[in-house]
Amino acid sequence: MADINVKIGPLVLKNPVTVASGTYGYGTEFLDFYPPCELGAVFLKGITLKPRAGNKPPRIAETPAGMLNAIGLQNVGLEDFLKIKLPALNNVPGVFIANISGDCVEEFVQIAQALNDAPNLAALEVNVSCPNLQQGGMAFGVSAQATEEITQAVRNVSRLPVIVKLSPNVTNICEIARAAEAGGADAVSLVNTFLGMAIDVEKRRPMLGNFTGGLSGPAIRPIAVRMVWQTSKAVKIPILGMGGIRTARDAIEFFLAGATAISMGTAVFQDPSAPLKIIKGIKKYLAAHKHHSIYEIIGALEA
Amino acid sequence: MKQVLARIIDVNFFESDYVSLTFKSPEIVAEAQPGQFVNIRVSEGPHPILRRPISIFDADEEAVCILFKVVGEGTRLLSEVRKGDYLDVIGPIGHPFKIEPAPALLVAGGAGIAPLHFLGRRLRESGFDVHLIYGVRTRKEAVAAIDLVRVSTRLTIVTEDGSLGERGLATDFINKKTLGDRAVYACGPEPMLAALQTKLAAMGKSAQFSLESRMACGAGACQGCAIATQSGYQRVCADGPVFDSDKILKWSDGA
Repeated sequence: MADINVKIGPLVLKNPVTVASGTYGYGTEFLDFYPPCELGAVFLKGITLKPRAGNKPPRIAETPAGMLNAIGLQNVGLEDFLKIKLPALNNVPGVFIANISGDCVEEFVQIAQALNDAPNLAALEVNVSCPNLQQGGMAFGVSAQATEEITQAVRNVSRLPVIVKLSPNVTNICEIARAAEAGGADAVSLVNTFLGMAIDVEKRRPMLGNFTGGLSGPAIRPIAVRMVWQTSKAVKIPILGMGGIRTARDAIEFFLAGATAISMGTAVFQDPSAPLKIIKGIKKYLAAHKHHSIYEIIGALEA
Repeated sequence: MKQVLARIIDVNFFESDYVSLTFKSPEIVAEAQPGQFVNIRVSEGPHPILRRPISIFDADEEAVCILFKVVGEGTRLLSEVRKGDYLDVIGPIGHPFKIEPAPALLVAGGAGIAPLHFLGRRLRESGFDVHLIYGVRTRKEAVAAIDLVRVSTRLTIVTEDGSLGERGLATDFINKKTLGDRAVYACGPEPMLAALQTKLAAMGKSAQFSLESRMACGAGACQGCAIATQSGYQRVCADGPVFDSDKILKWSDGA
C-alpha cells in the first residue's frame, strides 16, 4: 500500500488529512464519532490572549454550496486553554495544533511563549487574518511586511513548528506566502475564508449579525485550488491546502496543485466521518495509479 | 450522540406543509430524552451543505419520530424522502428538559409542539398532571392535535383565527390560574417565547425553553448557534437547546 505519511517542516503526519481550526472545537467535541488520532492532525479552535465573547448572532448563514460564518473568534482565552482545554486532551491520542490570533505582534509572541511548555501540542498555526489594531484594524495578512514580521516574531520564541495561515482576501497571495517563508515559517496553510455577505431580501437585513462573514464550502474550492497552485510556485515550504474539500477527488486536486496536506471544515459539518472516507479514497487513488507514495502526486500537475 | 444510517419506516404529510418522519434507530432511542434533537443530512451533494437540526417528537422502542414544517430548501429536501430510504442522522443532541417533580404546564407554538409531545408523554408516564396549551394560526395547522390527547391530562388548543378551540395566542392563556404551582416548559417561535418570558418574569416565574437556531456543526465545536445569556454567549446545540427562560438575555431576531 502506498505511503501516505507527509512532512510539514519537522512534523510528520501519518496521513495528509487534517481538520481546520474553528471547525473541530478544542479536540474533544467529535470524540463520539472516532478518535482524532485517525486524522493526520487536528487544528484546534483559535485562541487569543484574553477570552473573547464573539460576534452578535446570527453567526452563520447557508449560501449556495457553502456557508458564511462570523463567529468573531469566540474562545476561552490563553489561560483556560492551558488550564482546561489542553489538559482535556491528555488521554486523547492525536496530533494537535494550536491556532493563535492577536491584536498586535506582542500578543502573538506572548501566546507563542506560553504554549512552549504546553502539553499535547505538535505545532502552532498563526492566524494572520485577524485585524492589526495598531495599524487601523487592517488584517496582518494583507501586508507582506506585517506577515513577515509576525512570522519572525513567533518563530524566534516558539519551540514548535510554525504554520502561517494565509488570508485569501489579498491581491497577491504569492507575495504574502513568500513573506511568511522569509519570516521562517515551516509551512503555510491556505485558504482561510473569503469575505462575503448575504442579505435577507424580505427583512432587508443582513443574514449575519456582523453583516459580513467568511465564506467556506465547495463554492470556494476552485479559487482555493488556484491560490494553492500559485503559492506552490512561489515558495519551497510545504503547503496545507484547504477550501471546500468534500471528497477524495477534491483533496487530490489540491495535492496535484501542490499541497502536501489538506484540511477540511465545512464538509465535516455535513459528515463528521468525511475525513476518514477521504483517507480511504486517497489510498485507493494512489493504488489505482500505481503510486508508492503520496509525494508522487504532490505538485504533479501536468501542463 | 451517534451518527447512524436509519431506515425510514413511516412518512406522513399534513396540511400547512407539516411532515412527520419515523425512522428506525435503536441506538438513538436508547439515549433520547425530551428536548433533545437530531441533526439530519439533507443532501448527498455539496448543496445544501448543512444538516438540519430537528426536535424529537417521539422515541419509542426502536423508532424515532420527528415532526417538522417545510420552511425552506433543507426541510423541503427532507420532505421528499420515502419509506424505505435511509437517512444519515446524528443524535440525540443537547441537554434535555429537566423533569421537575410537579404538575406541568406545557406551552407549544406551531412546530414547537414536537419536543413537548415527547415531554408530555414522559411526564404522563411518570404520573404527572400535564396541561398542554397548543397555539397555532388556524385549525389546519393543528396537525399534532390528534396525538396530544394521550400526552396531556388537559389540552387547550388556541388558534389565532378561532377556527379551532380558543381564539387568540397561546400566551393569552397563561395566568395565575393556569400556572398554579406548575413547572412550565415551552417551545415555539421566538416572539411567543419572548412574550412568555416577559409574562412569567412579571409573575416571578421561570420556565424551561427549548430553542431553535441556525446551526453548522451541531456538536458544540463551531460556536455558530450562539444565544446571548446571562453567562455570555452559549451554544444552542451543546449548552441547550433547553435553557431557563430567565437566563436568556436577547433573542437572535432582536425580539
